[in-house]
Amino acid sequence: MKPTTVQLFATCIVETLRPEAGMAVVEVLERLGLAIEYPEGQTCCGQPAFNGGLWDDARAMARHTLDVLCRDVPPERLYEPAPIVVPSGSCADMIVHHYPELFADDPKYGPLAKDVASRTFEFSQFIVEAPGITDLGAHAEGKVVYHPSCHLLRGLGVDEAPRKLLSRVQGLEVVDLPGATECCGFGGLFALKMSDISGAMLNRKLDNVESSGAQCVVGCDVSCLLHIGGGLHRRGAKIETKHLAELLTNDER
Amino acid sequence: MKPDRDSMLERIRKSLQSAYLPAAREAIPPRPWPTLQPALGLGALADSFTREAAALGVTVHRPESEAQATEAVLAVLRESGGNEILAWADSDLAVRGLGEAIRAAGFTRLDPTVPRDPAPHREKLAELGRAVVGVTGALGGLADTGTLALLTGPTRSRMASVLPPIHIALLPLSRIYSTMAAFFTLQSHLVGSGSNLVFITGPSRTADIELTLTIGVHGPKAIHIVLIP
Amino acid sequence: MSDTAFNKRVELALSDSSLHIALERVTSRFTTLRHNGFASLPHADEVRDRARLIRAHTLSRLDSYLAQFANSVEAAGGRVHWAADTAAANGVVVELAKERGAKTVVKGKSMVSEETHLNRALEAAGITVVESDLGEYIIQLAGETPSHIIAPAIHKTKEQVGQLLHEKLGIPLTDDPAQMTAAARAKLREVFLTADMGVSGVNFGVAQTGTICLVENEGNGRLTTSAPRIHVALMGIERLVPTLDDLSIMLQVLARSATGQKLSVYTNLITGPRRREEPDGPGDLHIVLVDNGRSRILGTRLAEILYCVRCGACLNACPVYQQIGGHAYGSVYPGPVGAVLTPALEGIDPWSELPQASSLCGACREVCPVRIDIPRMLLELRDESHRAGLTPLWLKVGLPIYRFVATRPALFKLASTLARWVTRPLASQGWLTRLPPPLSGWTDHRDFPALAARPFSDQLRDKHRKGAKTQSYTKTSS
Repeated sequence: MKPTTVQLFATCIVETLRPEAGMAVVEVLERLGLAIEYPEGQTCCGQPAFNGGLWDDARAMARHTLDVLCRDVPPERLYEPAPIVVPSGSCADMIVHHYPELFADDPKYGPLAKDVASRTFEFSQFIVEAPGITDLGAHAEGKVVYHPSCHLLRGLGVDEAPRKLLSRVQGLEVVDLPGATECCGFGGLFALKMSDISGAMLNRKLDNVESSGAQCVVGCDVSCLLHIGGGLHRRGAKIETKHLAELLTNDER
Repeated sequence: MKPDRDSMLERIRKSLQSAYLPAAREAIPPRPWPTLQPALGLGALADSFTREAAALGVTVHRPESEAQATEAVLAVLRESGGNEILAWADSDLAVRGLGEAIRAAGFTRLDPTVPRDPAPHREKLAELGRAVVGVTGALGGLADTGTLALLTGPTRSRMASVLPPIHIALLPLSRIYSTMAAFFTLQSHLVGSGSNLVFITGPSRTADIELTLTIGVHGPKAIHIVLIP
Repeated sequence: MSDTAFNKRVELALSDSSLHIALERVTSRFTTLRHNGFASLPHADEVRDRARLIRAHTLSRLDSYLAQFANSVEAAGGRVHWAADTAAANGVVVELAKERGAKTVVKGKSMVSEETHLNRALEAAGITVVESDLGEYIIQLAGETPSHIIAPAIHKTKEQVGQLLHEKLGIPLTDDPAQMTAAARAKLREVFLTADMGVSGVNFGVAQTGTICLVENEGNGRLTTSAPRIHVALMGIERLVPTLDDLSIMLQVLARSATGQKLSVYTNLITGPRRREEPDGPGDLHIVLVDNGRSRILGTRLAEILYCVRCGACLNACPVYQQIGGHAYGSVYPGPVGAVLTPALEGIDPWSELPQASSLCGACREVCPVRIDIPRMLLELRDESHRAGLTPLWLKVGLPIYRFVATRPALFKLASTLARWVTRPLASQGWLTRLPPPLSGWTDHRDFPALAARPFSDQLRDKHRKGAKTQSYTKTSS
């Protein structure tokens, strides 16, 4: 059955650093006729602590997130929980794959984690899988490349969906990104802990972006885009970065 | 020493009580795809074998008779520019009259038996190192990779196929298997009957310097396979 | 990055431009070769699944398969030694060499022998050791350690190798790999034919028949295990498969994964020593089963790393390895496999940085022929590292603070408002070019955007107030 309502988990990075990506996601979902619930009190999925090996702290943030996503389900939705849409491959992967592991032995949060994991989708994955849409009637100008974020690509196995959505945007020229599937070097706290290695990996990605001739790098993970965008800006390159949703809204931005 | 063995096995047993081994199953199930492919005829197997071996720089000879096979071998021997060779016994070479023809052509077959005492051992190896060509039979061939399977025996030395820079192998067409798995299915009982079963796939090579390929390192530089009809 | 030994090695590697070229070459070439190798394998996915299954099953019954293997080896006339650790393993080899009055040992490639530092032990006993694999021979001459599991000398340019051979072997200076190979061949041939003992590794042991399988391309493995009068093979206890049929599956993925070849040039199956009637081969075969921590790892959540077949594909796929090379890891096993295996074998302290040197991109897991989940184990090691108290102070303090804030939405809101007020004035045209430590690592290499003027949740609320469809789900009173 096609969903009519979705829950939106915006992610801490969209909330603080790239709200326009979140607004674009909301607009696209509304245009598809979906009602969006934004569970108040959402903050962070806990991935930074998890990746850092501080699993108790990660669990605390995960419990908070599960509480936020699972409370106050209205009676009419009790048997049809809404899909959770996340505008980030890595956060979605955290919830889908690591939440059940973190609470494997927890009698309360174990079942919650499994439930939430089973209905969490990354934005592009959701659009193509659930309503089954690939053409949103979007149009935009310019030459872009698509950067497939690692957790989205290899963690969730999502690659066709964003590419399909992008290819249907009228007027847009999508060119090949050399070494597209190579990690950009963000890796969360890795960018700070191993900053020189991260910087070297970033350079390689930036060289590839510049050689592609694209004017904009499109991705589904704002975290990668911040890292790539920050590097492009440092280089003085006039290349933008955009979340996929921003190209699907037809807004003049 | 028994105590070392027992204590190691005991440590392993203990660890297995808490081992996290994803994908481990009670038993390995039978293979879902067939190992033996009886539908492939000798012709198809020979063609595949030839194609794969040739792609590796092996020279594959396809004589139509034993006489032609003999001539092919002699031609390579003559071109080698040397006189001393290492060869398996006549009966291992699968071509009647080949052994005789080699002797008649004036090539010296070095005695391959390496003594077990240190000084004579070294002397013999130095002598064997002079051979320019090694001539062997083959227990089998693998069609999917162009591979030779050679098994040691009383008249089948290891050195013949590794020391000389040129190796000629005589392989009857009927001994070409589709894959290694097929070979093992039919011949695994032979594996322990000799100390060394070697699968040879092409001439020796290395790319250890800047990944630049060089053919001919410690093993033979040139391989000739004569397929016996 | 702070001033640790690891970081210093990384620094050195990142600033080495000829290493950069060499790494680019090896990782891109091997990646292409591997890809083509698997493209030509029928049922490639099923074969990999089966290979994984074989490794998992074998380890789950390792005690009985090892016992079966040892019995089969002995039935074929070989001797088995059970070495609990490095000292025991080296001890067996040195004792055997001394017993036989061996003065020279020729060696085929063996990662286990690197692990136990066998060469040092033999040399300390007055025995000359010569590495016969060309890459190992080169680094032995250079007094270095291998930088890649498959191509040990790949960090060296051909000019560097030419210079080295000129100095150490006295051959004329050249940069032609063919000439260098010929010179090495001539020198090593003499060694093969006069060495008293051959020492090799083992790619796989076969429990059913007591066979050891060694794969190689140069022929040095064949000569090392055929010419000398005694052959000693070092084998990690996890390198076992139950039957010959299982071996054939492993061989289908090993060479393809490592170099893209369908099979290595020589796949040697050795079952026992030279038979009485055979004309050549070593009269004695000794197999040293090396534990050195493997049995302990087997009982942990890191046991999956024992599935590894040492193909090196994870190194070639790893974007971190591609930047820093093998030596930066400072360990016998570099790359993704080394980042798990090294702390697993030797303890998380002093190897805690290795599991941190990863963006968890998953490329290693994708290419592993037996689908080992290396990222999972890197995360396990990071957890272990934290519990061992090895987390750097700023994270040990900072992450719990972040957690405190992120589990209290009002506080989170306040904190992000404060962060916005503080950083926005410091930004120039929306970007911060310098962040203070410990965040300075970011701005060493890229700019950081100023926090957005209005956070997403505020913008969404504004939109909602204007009568949009979206509903904010507020907590009902309880």
